[in-house]
Amino acid sequence: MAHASGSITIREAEKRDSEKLAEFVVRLKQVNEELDPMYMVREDLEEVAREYIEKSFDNPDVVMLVAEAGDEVVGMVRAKIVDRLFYEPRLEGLVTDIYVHPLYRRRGVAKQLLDALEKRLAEKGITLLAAEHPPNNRIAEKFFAKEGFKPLLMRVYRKIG
Amino acid sequence: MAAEKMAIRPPVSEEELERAAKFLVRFYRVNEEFDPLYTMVDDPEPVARQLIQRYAEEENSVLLVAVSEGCVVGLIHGEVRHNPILRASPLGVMMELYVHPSYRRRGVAKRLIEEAAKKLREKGAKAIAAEFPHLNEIAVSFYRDLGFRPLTSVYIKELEEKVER
Repeated sequence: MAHASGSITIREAEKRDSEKLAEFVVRLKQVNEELDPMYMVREDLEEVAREYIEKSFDNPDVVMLVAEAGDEVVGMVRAKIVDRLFYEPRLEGLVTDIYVHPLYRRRGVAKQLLDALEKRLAEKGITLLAAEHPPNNRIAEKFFAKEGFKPLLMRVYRKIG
Repeated sequence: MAAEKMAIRPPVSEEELERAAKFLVRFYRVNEEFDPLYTMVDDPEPVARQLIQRYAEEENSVLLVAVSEGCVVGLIHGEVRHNPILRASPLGVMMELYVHPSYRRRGVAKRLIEEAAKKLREKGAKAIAAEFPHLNEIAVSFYRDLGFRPLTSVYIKELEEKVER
């Protein structure tokens, strides 16, 4: 990445973005790894991330958008549509991954990605947007709070066996 | 393995220096998340190796690794910094600290800091400080719990245009 100036455009992810998408997923999971030992990544993280992206393209319930500066992909968001079975509204757009390259931070790229995602999901009739992140990720916590998100789910764990 | 049983010492082999360099990159990769000005160069590994070599050799530097069962699982680097007008000079400043995620939550970082503080004191340091990204709240609570208080604030902005000469 040579420089960080210029305007940002958001578009649907395409197969040609796969490598970059996988790279950003890897970086995101590596951040998680730093936040809690329960997020320790597997040895073959890169390979798994590539498969994850490939499968996402084939999954009609997944939306992936990229942020571009010039012709360079500098950020991504991936959301999957989840059926809440017992609850109304039934369908939720869940942000599973959102990442902006560090050089392109602090200029609202993630917000642009989120806004575009919201629009895209709304077109599909979805009225609920959710996101998940490790509790220790204060950056994510602040970002989503600023964007009007509220806590919805607490996941607890203990090790067994 | 509990932190008390871990060896905290300077790296002794090429292999340990290599692993320390890897950890240095991981440390800076975390910092990258906090501000664009922490973005690393495109190929940081060879630079990290040079840095580690320098830290290991420099007189005013302290480089220690935590070793568990023969394997490096954490590192700390600090240096003594002089400002002759201050009574507290020189200061021992810890600039890089990293513990592998699978060895967290057992006091390794605390032991690294204690040992680095000792070494820095041997080099004349009258107090020890730690530098980390302003937004790293995990570091903030970590150092506060260890009795550190905020001392210096660093504010920064990019220089947008080149100055014409």
